[in-house]
Amino acid sequence: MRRGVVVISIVTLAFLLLVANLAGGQEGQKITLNVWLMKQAEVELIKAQEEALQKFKELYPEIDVKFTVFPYNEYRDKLLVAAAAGNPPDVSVVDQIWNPEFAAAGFIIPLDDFVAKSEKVKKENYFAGAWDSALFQGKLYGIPFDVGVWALNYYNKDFFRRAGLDPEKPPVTWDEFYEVAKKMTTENQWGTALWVGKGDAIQCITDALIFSNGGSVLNEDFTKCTLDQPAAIEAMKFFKKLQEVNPPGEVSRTEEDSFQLFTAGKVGMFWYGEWGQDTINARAPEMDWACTNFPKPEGGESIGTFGGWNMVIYEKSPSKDAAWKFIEFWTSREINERVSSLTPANVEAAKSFLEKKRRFPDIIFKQLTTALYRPIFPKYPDLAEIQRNATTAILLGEKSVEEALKEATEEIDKLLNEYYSTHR
Amino acid sequence: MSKSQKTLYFVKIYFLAFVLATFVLFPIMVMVSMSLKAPDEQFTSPPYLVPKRPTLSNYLHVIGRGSMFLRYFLNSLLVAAASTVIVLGVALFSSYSYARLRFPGRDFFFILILLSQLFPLAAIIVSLYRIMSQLRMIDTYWSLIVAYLTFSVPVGVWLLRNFFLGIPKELEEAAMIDGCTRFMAFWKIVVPLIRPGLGATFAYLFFVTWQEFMFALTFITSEAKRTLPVGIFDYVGQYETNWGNLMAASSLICVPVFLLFLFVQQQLVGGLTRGAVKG
Amino acid sequence: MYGYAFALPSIALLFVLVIYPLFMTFLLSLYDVSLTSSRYLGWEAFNKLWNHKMLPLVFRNSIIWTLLVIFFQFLLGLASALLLNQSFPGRTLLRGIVILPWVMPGVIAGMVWRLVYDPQLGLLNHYLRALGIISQPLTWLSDPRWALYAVIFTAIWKGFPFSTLMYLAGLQTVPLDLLEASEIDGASPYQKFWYITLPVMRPIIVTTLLLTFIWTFNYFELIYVMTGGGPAERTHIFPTYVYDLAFKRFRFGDASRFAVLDFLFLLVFSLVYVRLSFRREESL
Repeated sequence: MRRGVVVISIVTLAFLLLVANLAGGQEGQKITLNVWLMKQAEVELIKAQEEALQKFKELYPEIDVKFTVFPYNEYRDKLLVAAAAGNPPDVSVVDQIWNPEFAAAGFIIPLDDFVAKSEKVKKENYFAGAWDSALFQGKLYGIPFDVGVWALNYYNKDFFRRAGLDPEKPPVTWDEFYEVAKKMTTENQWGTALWVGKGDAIQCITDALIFSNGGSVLNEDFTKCTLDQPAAIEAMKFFKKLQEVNPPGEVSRTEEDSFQLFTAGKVGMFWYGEWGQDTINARAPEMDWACTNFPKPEGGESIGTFGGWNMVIYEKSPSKDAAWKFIEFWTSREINERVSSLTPANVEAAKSFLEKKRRFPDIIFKQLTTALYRPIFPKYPDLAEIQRNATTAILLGEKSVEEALKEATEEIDKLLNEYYSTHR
Repeated sequence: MSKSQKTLYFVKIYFLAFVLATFVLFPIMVMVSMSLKAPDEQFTSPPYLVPKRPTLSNYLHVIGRGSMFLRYFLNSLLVAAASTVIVLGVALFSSYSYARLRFPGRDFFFILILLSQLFPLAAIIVSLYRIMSQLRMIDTYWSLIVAYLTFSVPVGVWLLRNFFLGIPKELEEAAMIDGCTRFMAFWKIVVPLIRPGLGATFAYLFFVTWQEFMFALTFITSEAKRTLPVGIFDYVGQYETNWGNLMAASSLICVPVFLLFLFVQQQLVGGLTRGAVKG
Repeated sequence: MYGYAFALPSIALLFVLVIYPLFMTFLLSLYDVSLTSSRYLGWEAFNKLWNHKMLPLVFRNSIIWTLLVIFFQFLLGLASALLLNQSFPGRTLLRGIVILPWVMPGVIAGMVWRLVYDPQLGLLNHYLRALGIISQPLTWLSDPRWALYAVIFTAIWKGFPFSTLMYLAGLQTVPLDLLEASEIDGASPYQKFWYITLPVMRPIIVTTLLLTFIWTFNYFELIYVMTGGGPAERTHIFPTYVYDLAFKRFRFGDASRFAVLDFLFLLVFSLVYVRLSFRREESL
């Protein structure tokens, strides 16, 4: 009998728990702001976020902010599904390359009016390349939150010494890079590691090479593909040449695998974003490493590709003003610096962040000011896939560089035409 | 057998046992080894199994402050327990009727239930998702609990029916002759005898729902409600995977199911095989 | 009557949770549905399925995957059952160890094996090279030639303990006196196994093979976690491709069509199972 009472009380308790969880938040005078973000791994960062949130509450006690964080591999899918189903969050960060897609689908709203009225959020406060990445058909659809640049040239000074080279004089041009890599390559170590992997990141590398050579992926108004131009062809030829000085298996390797080759001491130089510094410190604390600028072609510039996240407000949000207040706060100079895991998009915050947390802050800063963003096209993922297939074909030797790029250009033109003929 | 033949026999046995154990344990050793390694030992060239400076920092990080692991653990517990209890409640009565009672269509429905056990989840996940979406059940605990019923009920019914079949009919018949109703005979005599089988079925269903991934990935959005299999992907970042923490979390997840299974092994296999041999 | 009352909840749940969604899936397969649009196709939908460029590959992969996995699970399961059927000290411990892979959640097994298969820094390649079996590291999971087989190997590792347990129980139903009698008649161990043990175990072997066929054909976790269906979509099987179509590309119509095909294919196998079941029950 007593056992029965125990069972019943447990069941009741469980039932109450369930109901409590299902009931959700409370209604009242407060506005609830749903914010979706990417998952942060570092404990420090999570703490910093909590503190920032506290500050926000003090400033705006009537706004109740609820964070939901997602791991990267499901983030875009969940956002799209929620937005399409009509219950998106109020605010979220989106990867720069998703911004046009969301804007074109009408999921997010233009923010020009908010910016005009705001004192804190102004174009000059942010890196130009990041700000412009949020433009779509002349309107601004996002405010940059954090940025990264592909790529810096990380190098292992021991490799230089072993090859009889001066570790304080890393290569600057493409030819120098190739020569140095060649000298470093022996039986079981290599100058650098190439990779293609499965995601979008490889385009950041190939685009950077093309940008540095004065070329581009699409033309100025994003209506025609320019990958079959000499600038792009030369860039990809250089990329292919590097195959000789890299460990086999480059097509299926991911950037993570390849960076591990660098931290494990198997390759001497590696192109990666500035966020990799934390990884090196953790995985190879003994390594004598440094960063320098992305190599440039003779007579060209060292230009990287922008990566990063913008903050957007959703069309279906009932609390757009509150959302804007949050964005102002989150991207402001003091807060932006503390809560980003990548480099803050706010220029002043970035300077301070880089000084404190990164080696070679000047080089990183310079790269961030000259970097270019990837094409603004709502179906960018499809475009990226065509580029990736071309890169794969080139590396596998299935097509020559000219052929592969010509075919890619045709396919991309087709993609562009299809899209623009049905949407305008 | 002569002494030397016996030795040879044991040598052969232990050699095979060793090979089998190594095959089985190797990946598990990799998992535990990685969970005890600090980042600078995780990916070295050449790689090695035993960490030179083992550390518990991964484990501390996984269960420590700021980690959602305990929350995910509780969620998994809640969903698995709730759905299993519901299934047992339903299956207890249903499988008794399939085992003992006669009614028109009994065999038809039983076969239908068996068949549904074999349906691919992929065939219904899309529809289930749309239905849940329309009922605004997405991102609730109930969505998972209900979804898990789709594959738990058939298995539960099948297993329990096998256990019921193992109880001789005479017991209930004797009771009914003495004046019990069918229900009383069922509740007071047969069900207590089934208890070990109930335990085994509970364990098996719990164990299956504990590790379920596809539904959990699709139906749950907010962190607060995620279950463990989905939650471990928190350690897979955009550019980097935190293998140390991931493996520590994995080791922790394996422990409860392994213990549970050890306890109920005997009964469970009995139920499964009785079904296999007798049909 | 009691019968209906008792059985009703299970039947009701069956209809609501399985029959109804299945029916909806069938309906959905006649449309082209995305996040923002919906278009009726009618029977032309199945033309789309038939000509879908991924269908032959997904089908072929599913068959190869399932057949190889269950075959080797059978061999390994039977062999380990025979071993565990011998009596020797430590046997219970070994049996406990052997169960571990089956008990490990699928996603975790997938992640752990990813570590093992890591081309440069994983232990598998390291030991293979140390033993001189390969000279260059193999990119197990990202080479289209090996990827599916690598995951198949993992699936064999993960699932064989179930077969072991079933066959172990089955071995114990072999009548000892029959075996002893045949020994007196001079039968070799091989003959005893082939002519007595196997035939007695036939029902359990058939059931286990069928169960593992169905479960493996539908197994989502391993391929999703280890290759995501890649590289370049070369390792997709039905469950992973349906998920990909529905929740990564939001092509719900296509996803439903593949799901329907998956279901129909397995239905044929289920009918085989039921036929065998009934025949056995009748003969008891």
